[in-house]
Amino acid sequence: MNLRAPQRTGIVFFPAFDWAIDPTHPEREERLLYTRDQIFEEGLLDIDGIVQFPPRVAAEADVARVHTGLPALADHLSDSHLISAGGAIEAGRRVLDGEVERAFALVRPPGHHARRVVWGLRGFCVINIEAVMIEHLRRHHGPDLRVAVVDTDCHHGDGTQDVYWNDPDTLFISIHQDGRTLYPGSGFPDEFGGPNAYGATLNVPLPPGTTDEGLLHVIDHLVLPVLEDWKPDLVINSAGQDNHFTDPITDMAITAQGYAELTRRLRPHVAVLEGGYSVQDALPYVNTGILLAMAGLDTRHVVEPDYRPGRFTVSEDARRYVERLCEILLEKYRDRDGLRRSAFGDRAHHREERQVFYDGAGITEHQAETVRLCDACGGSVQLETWVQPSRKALVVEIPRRCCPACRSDAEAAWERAGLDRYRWVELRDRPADRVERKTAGRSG
Amino acid sequence: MNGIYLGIDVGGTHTDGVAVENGRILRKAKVPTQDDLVECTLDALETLLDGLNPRSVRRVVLSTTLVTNAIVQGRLEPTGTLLTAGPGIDPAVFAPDDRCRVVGGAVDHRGREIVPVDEGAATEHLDRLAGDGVRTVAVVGKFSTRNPTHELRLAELAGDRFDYVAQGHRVAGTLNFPRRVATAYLAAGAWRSHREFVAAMTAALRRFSVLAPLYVLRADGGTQMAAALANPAETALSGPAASVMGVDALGAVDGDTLSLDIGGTTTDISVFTGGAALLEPRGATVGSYRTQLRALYTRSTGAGGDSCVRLEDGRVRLGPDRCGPPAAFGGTHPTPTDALVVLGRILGDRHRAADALRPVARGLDLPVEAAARAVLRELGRTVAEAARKFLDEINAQPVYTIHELLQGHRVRPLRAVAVGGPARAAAPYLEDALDLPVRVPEHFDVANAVGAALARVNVEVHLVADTARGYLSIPQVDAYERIDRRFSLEDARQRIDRAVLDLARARGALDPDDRVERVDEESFNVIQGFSTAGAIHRLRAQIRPGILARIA
Repeated sequence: MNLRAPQRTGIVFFPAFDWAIDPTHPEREERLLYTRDQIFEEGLLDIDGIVQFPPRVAAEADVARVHTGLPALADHLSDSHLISAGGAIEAGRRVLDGEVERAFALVRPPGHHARRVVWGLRGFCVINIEAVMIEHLRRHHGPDLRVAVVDTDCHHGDGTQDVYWNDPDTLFISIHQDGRTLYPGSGFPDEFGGPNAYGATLNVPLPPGTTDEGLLHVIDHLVLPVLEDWKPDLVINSAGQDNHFTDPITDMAITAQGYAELTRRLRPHVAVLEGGYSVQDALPYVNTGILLAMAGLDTRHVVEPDYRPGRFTVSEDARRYVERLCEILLEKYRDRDGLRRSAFGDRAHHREERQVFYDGAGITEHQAETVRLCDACGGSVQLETWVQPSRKALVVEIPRRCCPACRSDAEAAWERAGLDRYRWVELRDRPADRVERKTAGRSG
Repeated sequence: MNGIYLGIDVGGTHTDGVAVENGRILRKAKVPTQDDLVECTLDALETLLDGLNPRSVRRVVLSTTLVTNAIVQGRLEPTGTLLTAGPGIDPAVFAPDDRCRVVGGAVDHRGREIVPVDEGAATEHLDRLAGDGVRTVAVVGKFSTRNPTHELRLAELAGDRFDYVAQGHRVAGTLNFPRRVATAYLAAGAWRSHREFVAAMTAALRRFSVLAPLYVLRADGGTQMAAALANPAETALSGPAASVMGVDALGAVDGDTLSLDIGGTTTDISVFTGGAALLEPRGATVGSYRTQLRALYTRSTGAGGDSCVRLEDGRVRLGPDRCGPPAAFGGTHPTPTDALVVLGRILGDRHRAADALRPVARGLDLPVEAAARAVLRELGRTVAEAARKFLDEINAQPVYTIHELLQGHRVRPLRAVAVGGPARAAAPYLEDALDLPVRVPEHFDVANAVGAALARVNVEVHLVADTARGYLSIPQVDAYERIDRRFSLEDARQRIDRAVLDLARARGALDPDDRVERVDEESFNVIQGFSTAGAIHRLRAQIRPGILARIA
């Protein structure tokens, strides 16, 4: 009568029943209430080989390793964010410590829209819980950890993409509803990574209405071949559940069966809950399906009340579009070194400008990023950021695995940057795990 | 509390009894347990009533191994099971035996019917069970505690062809379908033997001219009038519960306290915090069955006074088996009790004890006394290690709000209490191993019976009010009611308080001091689309496990 999980699986379940963005916001207290009911009623936590771990509270240093908060990081942090990120950290550590083979961080609030620089709330996110976890793991288990993040949330994981834009050791693949039809409006195939990590970012925009079949096609024909080539030590799934056919803020047609099958094929070491706002009709079933699939258990009976096989279909055109997209992206990934040479040539530095809208704060951030082209490491980065031109910040990054040339380039930039031009200058010395700041005036 | 309170605990080796009046122990009894549990209970009763007026007995509380043994030894009555499930894990996995059938029908997490129950399939299975001579049935639906109509309908279909139908929502009121299945199955399987035992005992009491009602002790350390017991499986594991309540009644609890009951082959560990014994978070495990039975949180370690002593790679090891009684009391194998006899800490045949320990001493290359001390240190070490593991488990219990996580109370006992036969003699060794002061209260040898005599009625009740659905459920009192949109948290509080007192009264509460304690309260808005459609209030209230009076 007692079920046994073929794969020892950890779960960090933290529904944060006392936290909401505001009372009727999709990201509100009872988001995981019905999920908890389903998990309890199924007896999932009684299954031998499924182990529940309490979250930890992430340290501010864990967050500072990933984010530059402006005016100050502390302005943006709350207990809820530190616990959510701490939940992800706990899941990752238990896997790397060998206590479990896989782990699911079923936590909220989510984080995949949070970018390196944080001026406020965007896309319901403040800190990037996957990135905070990954960098914590690299700090405590070895800096050479090769990681792949597969983001299956319906929205483009633009925050995670930004955090790892210049990191050649972190593969980021986002599968999402086409940005022309959904927030945040990005995530197109030409977003392919920074100059020293070209091809380590892959974006798969899917047409609205995509079904299980389409999603699984992407897994089989793009994600798995790329992962096989990339050979990550750790596969993270940003497991958003808003591709579900009942989700109130998206337009996809994925079912609980689709999510379970996705998880079974992808075999992530760590899954982290991201979005998913159909709190009654999807989340209880999708989360049950993901957890059972991670544990290697049967999921055939995990179906929504109104599920029928073959309920959702797509046009022949839409099907061919997805197939073709996978072919092009796989080809592009395989040819990434050649593409890099033609895109960046032998320039010493590459400069990009961008604007970032914070829907939660109603502000627009401007960024100008300069990356030193480097074959030996991720390259030193100088990132200028401002909301008001009179209050600019400069962030200088010495990457985790930094070559001597890039280090002296970054250190020179840090020395040079005066408080006459910038209100804040931050040096992020990743090999030393140190953040240093120069601040103009009395306030932070 | 006026009158005489009798408590009898039928354990694996001994049957212990006490008669208590006004906080004083009037009589103690200790007789060997026999195969016929009624017989040894009557032996104890006879000793207790010697010279007492049977008419002044106010209540008789029994704690027995009857149901535990039936479950563990696989002697349950053949029982049919019908399950309805819906989305999730394949329900066939939870079939307790091959008399189980899954029939169509499903209810969702909010208690909404998704698929009507397949009456044809149900009837067909019930017919076959009846034809096979099966007399008891369990009917269990997923989420039946949110909406029991499927179970009610299945019970109706079973009709009077069966002597007893266990309905999941009545015997297991919280969310956990697999445990609900196991609990209902055990309730049905233990129903008849328990009923017969209660009838025999009630008749026997009358023969002794005791007119007071017969109570049974439950796994949660609460008592209940035997006649009002809906689920006989609730008497499983009442033995460990009796000792825990005894520790409380003997006045030994002070702040966070570790309670140790040193028995023949096991030591049961439990924990008091905030003045009450902790309860199992999800329910008791009985034999191989994980149930929803509310039970005191106890962990058993395989080391007690009669555990077999062995040498393993030059180190002393205990148990887990018992190889007969200690050598000092006629057995053949060395035990911790023999070590205590050798050291003169308890009386017994010192010669035989020393002879039995000699091979161990030789293996350790030590004199017999030193070997005896090594055996007792091993007993202490085993118990202390189990206690530490148990405390880690308790402190790792999940919480689901930021407030709880940041305020998290950790249980850190500053003292321990030991009861059971070898408690006093072994206490110094426990003290060393635990690094805590160990108190051994007076009457430590009958703590279990004292606990049975003085345990209070306790109850736990769960309320879910869903104003969007217009529905309220309190499975423990079988309340399923319509409510309107304005039903508030305050209304829910009043309703659950009433349910707690109703249930306590139905179980036979004698104590006017019973205090309803609301332990959990959650309120959520139900949002449909982007507007509020109602609220869900969830409350849990209880009367805590406790005792009527302390022994003076």
